[in-house]
Amino acid sequence: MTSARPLAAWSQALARAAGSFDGARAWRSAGMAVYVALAYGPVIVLFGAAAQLLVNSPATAARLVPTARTLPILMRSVAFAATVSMAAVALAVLIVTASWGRHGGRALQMRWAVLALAGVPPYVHALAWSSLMTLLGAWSMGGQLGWLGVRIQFTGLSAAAWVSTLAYLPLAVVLAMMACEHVPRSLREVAQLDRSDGAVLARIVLPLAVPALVMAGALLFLITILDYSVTSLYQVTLYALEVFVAFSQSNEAAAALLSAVPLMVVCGVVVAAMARALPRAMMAPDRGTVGGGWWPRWPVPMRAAQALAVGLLVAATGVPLFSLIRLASLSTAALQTVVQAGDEITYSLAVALSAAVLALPPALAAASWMHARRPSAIAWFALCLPLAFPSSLIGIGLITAFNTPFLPLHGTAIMPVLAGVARFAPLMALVLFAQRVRLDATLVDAARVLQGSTWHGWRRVVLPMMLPGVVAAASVGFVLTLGELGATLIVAPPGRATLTMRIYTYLHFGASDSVAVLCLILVVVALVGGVIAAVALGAVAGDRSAADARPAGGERMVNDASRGLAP
Amino acid sequence: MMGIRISDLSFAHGGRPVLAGLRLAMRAGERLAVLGPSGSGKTTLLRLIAGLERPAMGRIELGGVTVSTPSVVTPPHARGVSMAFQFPALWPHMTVLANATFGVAGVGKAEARERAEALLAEVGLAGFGGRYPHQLSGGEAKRVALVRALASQRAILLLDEPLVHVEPALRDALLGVIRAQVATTGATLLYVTHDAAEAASVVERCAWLVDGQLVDDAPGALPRPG
Repeated sequence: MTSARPLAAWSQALARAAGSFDGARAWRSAGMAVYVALAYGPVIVLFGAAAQLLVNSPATAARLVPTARTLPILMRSVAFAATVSMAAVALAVLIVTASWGRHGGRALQMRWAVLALAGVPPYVHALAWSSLMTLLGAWSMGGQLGWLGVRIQFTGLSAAAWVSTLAYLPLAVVLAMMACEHVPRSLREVAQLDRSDGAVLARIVLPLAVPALVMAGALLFLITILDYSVTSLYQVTLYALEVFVAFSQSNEAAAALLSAVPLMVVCGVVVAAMARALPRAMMAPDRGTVGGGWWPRWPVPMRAAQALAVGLLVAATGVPLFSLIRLASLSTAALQTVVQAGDEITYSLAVALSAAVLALPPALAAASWMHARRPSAIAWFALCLPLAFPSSLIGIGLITAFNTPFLPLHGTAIMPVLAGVARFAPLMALVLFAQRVRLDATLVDAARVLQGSTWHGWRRVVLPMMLPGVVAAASVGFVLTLGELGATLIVAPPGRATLTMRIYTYLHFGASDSVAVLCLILVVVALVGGVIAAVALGAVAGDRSAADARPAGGERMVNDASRGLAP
Repeated sequence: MMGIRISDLSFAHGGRPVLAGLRLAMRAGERLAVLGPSGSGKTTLLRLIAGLERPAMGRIELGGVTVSTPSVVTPPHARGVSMAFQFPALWPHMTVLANATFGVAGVGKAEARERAEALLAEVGLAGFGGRYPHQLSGGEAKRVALVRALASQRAILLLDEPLVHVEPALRDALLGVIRAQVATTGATLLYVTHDAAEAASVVERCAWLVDGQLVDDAPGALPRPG
């Protein structure tokens, strides 16, 4: 009898624990742990190696501080990335404001189509612009424009800045659109009663959009400062390239990490600013987006600036297509080039697809974890910090982590997949979080009450409603992995190359018709991925777009008595 | 059949106290209306019972089992509770029938469908099963949400202003459907409304939510139903 009592108490305690067990919470936590391992793992391994190096050889700590040679490179990198990101965001805001009043209903959703252009890698833009400038240079000096005596020089930092700004402009436009989605339509309408459209934009819309615009600028800054593919083509050295060079020269993973620390500190500060802006930037408006149902009359100078910005967006789209098609048409062996690059094309597609699929569950778990916790700025910082890791460093970290007898993945075809997952899972998590906060909380609550189990509710209600976001995140992961270069260059197995590696190698030998053919293939695949992401994002924003298409508060009212219910 | 026992329940929203030491005892199968002005915490009380919120203090027991304390909250679906929300909250990717049968458990698909279709017919929506939420008017969506809550036939039914925005001509009929369903299933009913007369036709007793506590009578507040 006495032994039965503790047994009964234990069984009651177990029953209580089982009753309060939250499967969703356990799944989110496990997924978050996987996310941390994937996104942080490579760099954590490097920190371990660096700590060992510092203990054995304290003098190496000097590498943590920029030298007289590397400090100017770091300053140049910051200035370059700041210029590109600010210019791109400013142009994007002008383009977005120019689009208001020119759409409605279905057309409102189609504006996300600009995202399709965001997947074209920047070095493809570099090839296209260089080719165009060479053509114009030939005209101006020796051909039709020779009498002008114009010398076109398209080299150095200014050329790199021009190409980078236009390459990132489509992405900036998408981010600026999302920023403006966060401004409730009702707040704009109230202000419209007292102020002109220009004043409403300056005093209401832009201040409310600032957190999301800061986030957009910070993201573009990080992408620009960590990408050396464009600048290296124009013989400009950025700090990100130094990390790659440090590893190539010494083959020491720890040395590469130490040399990357100054860059990571700069990027960490930017991520911190981003993390402060994220909670407000991610909030969904109550109803209706700011641009819906607004036909603003802008001042003349602003209209001129908008026209210029739209013209640059058209150029950012048209020049790559024009130049690549022109160059490819010069090729006498286009088909042969495609056939020769068959392995690279297949491998690139497999890597990008695998990375997108593998990164999805942990990114989804991280987004759900963040959503369930109402996270602090520190949690946001931790989620986004992997965005501050240079791509080369991620590659070096992966090699260090998997060049062991326990998990000998180094030299296998899966390494570029892991690189894609480590690099882009944080971005995918942000896309998924943005979609998660847009779900109507009451719909999820209704499922939580009525579902048979956590899995039942998640499968039948939450996942289908999140599907557009899932597709958008997977497409973003696919397109970005397809164009990934920094980490892939380091981890690609011997004898295997991705399409981007082949293009990048060829580009250093000058623009050629063969490269243009390969670039066109990359552009077409990136466009397909971008279109899928755009359609999905259009669906994410669809609810409020539909609300925009209606007059405010114009819910369909039907006489219920006419439906035949007997009183 | 499950009763509800709430002791010393407190909850704050954004630092503002909403419920302060609330107590409630309902026997299994009892029908109670909770009335009170906007912002008094009626919806919050239902969400706490459903397990959608975690109490700051106190304890909620359903059928004699503790389901909510500040440290332990049993998941909503494991409580035997059904709820109709203030807003229809119909899942847009599901048909009316799929919405209505979602919470039906322990029976075959055919029976679940039959039960939901019968209820849809009772609320005047016969033949609406194949429609999607965006094809419904506000009042129709509200009725589907009510059907969804009733069709699951859980032991505790929480209705949060289920007839607001429904035309007066339809209210009596829908109240009749609720009465009949509760009588058939023997569910414990907690009915939140602003309308004392509406409540009186469904419940056995009323309570007012005043200053975060439930009281049987509140002088100067809404008239007590006759």
